[in-house]
Amino acid sequence: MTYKIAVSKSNIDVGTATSPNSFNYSSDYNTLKYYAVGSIQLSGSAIFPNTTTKFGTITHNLGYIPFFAFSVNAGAGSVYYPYGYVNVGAGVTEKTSVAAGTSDIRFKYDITNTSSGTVFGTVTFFLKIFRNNTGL
Amino acid sequence: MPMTMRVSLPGYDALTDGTIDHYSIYADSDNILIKEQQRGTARVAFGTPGTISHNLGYIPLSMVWINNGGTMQFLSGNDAGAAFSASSQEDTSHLVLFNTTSGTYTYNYFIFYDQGTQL
Amino acid sequence: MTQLIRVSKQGIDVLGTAGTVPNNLIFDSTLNTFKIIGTGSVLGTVTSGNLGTISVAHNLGTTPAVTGFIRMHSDRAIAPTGRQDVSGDSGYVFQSIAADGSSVYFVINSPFLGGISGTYNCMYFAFEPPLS
Repeated sequence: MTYKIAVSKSNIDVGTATSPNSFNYSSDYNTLKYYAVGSIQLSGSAIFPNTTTKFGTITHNLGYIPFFAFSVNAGAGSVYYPYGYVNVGAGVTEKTSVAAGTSDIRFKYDITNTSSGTVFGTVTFFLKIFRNNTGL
Repeated sequence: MPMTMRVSLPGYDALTDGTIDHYSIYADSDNILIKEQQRGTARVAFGTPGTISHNLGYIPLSMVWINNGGTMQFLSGNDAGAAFSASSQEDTSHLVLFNTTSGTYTYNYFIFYDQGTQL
Repeated sequence: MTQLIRVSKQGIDVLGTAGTVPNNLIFDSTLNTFKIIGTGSVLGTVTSGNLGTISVAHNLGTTPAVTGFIRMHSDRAIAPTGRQDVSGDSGYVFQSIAADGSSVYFVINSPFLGGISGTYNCMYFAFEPPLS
């Protein structure tokens, strides 16, 4: 006999429900489990017409490549960009990306001067690291 | 006596398995499950942002997908300027959805109680 | 009487007022716990210097909400960036991930590798669909 724990949503019979959308929780399904957070700020400047690339890392030491989630604040006050930030603005282009290894998460920030003079930029990455193994 | 709660996934022995990823709940330490605040859909037309209020007072974890002709595409990055262009932003009260491609698309979203910028 | 299960984070009294705040909890049976309904992976190639799609059947019988990661060789795995021109460690680009009722699709912009197709290890997490 198989045992499990299941908690159905309101007005749904837990004994007959089968759809994952019918449950608040069911032990039949895995969950995303996070255990750590981190943040890192990267700054750069670029003289026309060049691109400057900055890298930063946060260590996790899980020994495998985990699921991660992140958002980016581009220094413009209270706005955050989930899962990445790209800005194609007047005279400047900024790009971000995040990559995970078996021991760390690496952040990349590109700033390109598309007009003249020197442009400056700063982004802050906020990271959530999960126990879930991507298997990669 | 410390108390904990462990619920293993099907096929794994909760009494012996030492891999946290084999559990849906493993409360020996803070392995935190994502908890839904709200979900829904929003029709967002080109040039008119769709605003979803969450009013949590902090930046929450969220996930958004765009329904592109029956295909659900995960919304990532600030895709300004690309051929199929969409993005999202968050502040402490809202999730804002942008459509910078022509036409109108349906966005499907989850907003969670869990914070996006803190543990 | 309402029955429920709550597990608080370390240092939080689950029986006190703090134990009613969702962000103080590992688990709360009164709230939907975001569920993974499936995972999968595929090894595929994209022609050098091209934008290509690698797909894999998910066999879930519905259109799931997916996200995922791709990895080339032993490089770091990257998340989708939403664009064709934002690369990770080694110059390749994971533009997007999507799913329909049968398959998951990874759209990848492979850098020019001297005519050699790029081989990518792709994986996805499929979640319960965010339909009301």
